[in-house]
Amino acid sequence: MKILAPLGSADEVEMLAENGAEELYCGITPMEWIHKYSPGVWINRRNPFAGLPSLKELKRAVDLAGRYGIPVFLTLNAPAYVEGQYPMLLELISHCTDEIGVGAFIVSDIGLMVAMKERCPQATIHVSSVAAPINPGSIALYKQLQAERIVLPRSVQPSEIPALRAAAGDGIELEVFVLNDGCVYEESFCLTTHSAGAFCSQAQWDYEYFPADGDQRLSAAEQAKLAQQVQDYREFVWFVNDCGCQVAQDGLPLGPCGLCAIPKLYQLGVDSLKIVGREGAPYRKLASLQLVRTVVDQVKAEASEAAVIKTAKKLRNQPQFCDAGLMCYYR
Amino acid sequence: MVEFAVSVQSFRDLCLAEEPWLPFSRQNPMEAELQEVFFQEWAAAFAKPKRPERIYFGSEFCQYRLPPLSLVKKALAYCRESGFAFTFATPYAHREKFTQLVSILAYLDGAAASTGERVEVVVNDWGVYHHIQTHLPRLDVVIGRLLNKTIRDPRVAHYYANDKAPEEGRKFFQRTGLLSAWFQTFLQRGNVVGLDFDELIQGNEVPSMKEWEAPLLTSFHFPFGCVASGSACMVGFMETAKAGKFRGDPKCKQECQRYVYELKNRQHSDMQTRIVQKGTTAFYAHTRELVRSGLRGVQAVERPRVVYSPRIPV
Repeated sequence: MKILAPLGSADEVEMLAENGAEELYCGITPMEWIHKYSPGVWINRRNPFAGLPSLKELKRAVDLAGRYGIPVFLTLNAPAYVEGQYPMLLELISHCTDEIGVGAFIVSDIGLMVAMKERCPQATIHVSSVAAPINPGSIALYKQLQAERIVLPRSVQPSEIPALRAAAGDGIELEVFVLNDGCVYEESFCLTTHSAGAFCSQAQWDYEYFPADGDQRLSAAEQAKLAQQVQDYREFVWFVNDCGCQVAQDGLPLGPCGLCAIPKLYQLGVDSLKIVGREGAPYRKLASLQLVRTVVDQVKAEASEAAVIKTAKKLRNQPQFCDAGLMCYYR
Repeated sequence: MVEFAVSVQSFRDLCLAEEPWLPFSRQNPMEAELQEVFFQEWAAAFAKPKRPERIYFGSEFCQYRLPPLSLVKKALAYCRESGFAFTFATPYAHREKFTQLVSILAYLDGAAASTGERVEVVVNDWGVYHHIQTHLPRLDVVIGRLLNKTIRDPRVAHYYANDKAPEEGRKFFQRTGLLSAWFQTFLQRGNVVGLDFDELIQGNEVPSMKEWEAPLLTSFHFPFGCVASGSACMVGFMETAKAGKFRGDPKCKQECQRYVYELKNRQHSDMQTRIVQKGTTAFYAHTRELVRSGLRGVQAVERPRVVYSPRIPV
């Protein structure tokens, strides 16, 4: 089981490699893309300025990571690409594979997967969670499309993994999320753009309930329950959005977390644990990595599940959040 | 000639397909208002309302709304007896519900074999698509609107509805990735007969489909468009402690069929559409202008279908 860490700059490679990252991923948006489509059209799931600034910088990052034997993966996981975008995408993939040495591309659009295998067969495909690999049928499809790794969405629970593993067979790696940033909706089926901020962000919405059937009336008890449900929902959304995008007083990141599930994920044969947040500050990345590294090391040292969970909660140092239950990816 | 279909998610609502322009008792005020708008604009575009030719049955947006096989059989029988063509609309599904869905699809494939009439299925999950392609050759596939991934964000979509938007950016927002040459290569391997579209705030630009032997059906949904759908149900688990809420519930009590939330935005004051969340899914309600331009646009495509949902569709 490897740890996949987010990379926002070539200058972060050494910090992440020295602290236990075994794989890195990042994004890049060529200036040509921004000029053609405007910054509102994203080439991956993060804004154009959250990635590495240039191919030259990407090359430097890949070379630096290579000295540690660490592969770098590139995100090309916009939910969809239209016809006119393919030439630029395929040129980027060829260049990054052949000239830069990018280890794999994290892709969600099936059209792009097909194009890659036809035009750049040497490029490796990791299927993004945005492609909704949530059942044995979708795993079988992505296997047929020659993916070498599949990133399971956050909504896939550990109990579902054995069936997905069986569908994948031995030749395909499975990756899961372990820390930071949730998604209120299923990430594949949220058709919004974060260029206007997250749609689910609670601060922008008031919620007014009404009966689904027009011939029904809501009792006072029902109205009280619905009002309470909104309060609870706001709390859930707050956790999913990194506890209001905060960092704890001790500097550790807050927000969605799967640390306690690592023993189970290890037993299930998960190949890679993804830390989210390539657009985050370097210290957030470092602190996240150290949290995950400590827990993974304990798991690999064959500590009991209970001991690992105790360590994870102690490290997080937010018992009230852990007890709330809504911060857990896997529950 | 525009094919007209009505989409219902519950067996009890099948009867609404007979005369979908008539008010009905269970209708909530938003549904009543949109019904009036839709059929006024329909009359302006096509003269008089007509009885639908087809029923879409099933929820596209929640795996816990998957009907039992017994109800699918009844719905299919109802359609055949009442002279409607039948389309089974399906959601995305995790492992457990995927297994249940696959058994329903196997039944429909068998039903198609016994009658010689192919059965149409709307898929919103590539795993379901792959299963049909691999195992169920007598089912015709319509790619659902959740797999047709244009941006549908009501907070910004209207900025891309006019010529002030950067041209290439606007085209990106208006076009579907499903009709890129590479995606078509993939789709042409399956039993795909059509594509479903939400009527987009920024407008749809649907290219001709010369690559296909027979032009694909192009269906446009009215009067609710999907913004986002997920596993966390907003009204599920109401009786449960907070820590257990907002996830998928195999023992779902269908609270979404009783309660809906309207979402009112404090920050985007120029947003042009109303937003509702029903269970797992947020929708934008069509404006009159959107219905009008949509029905006009439908007439320009080669094999058009209009799909009208009398209820907020979960």
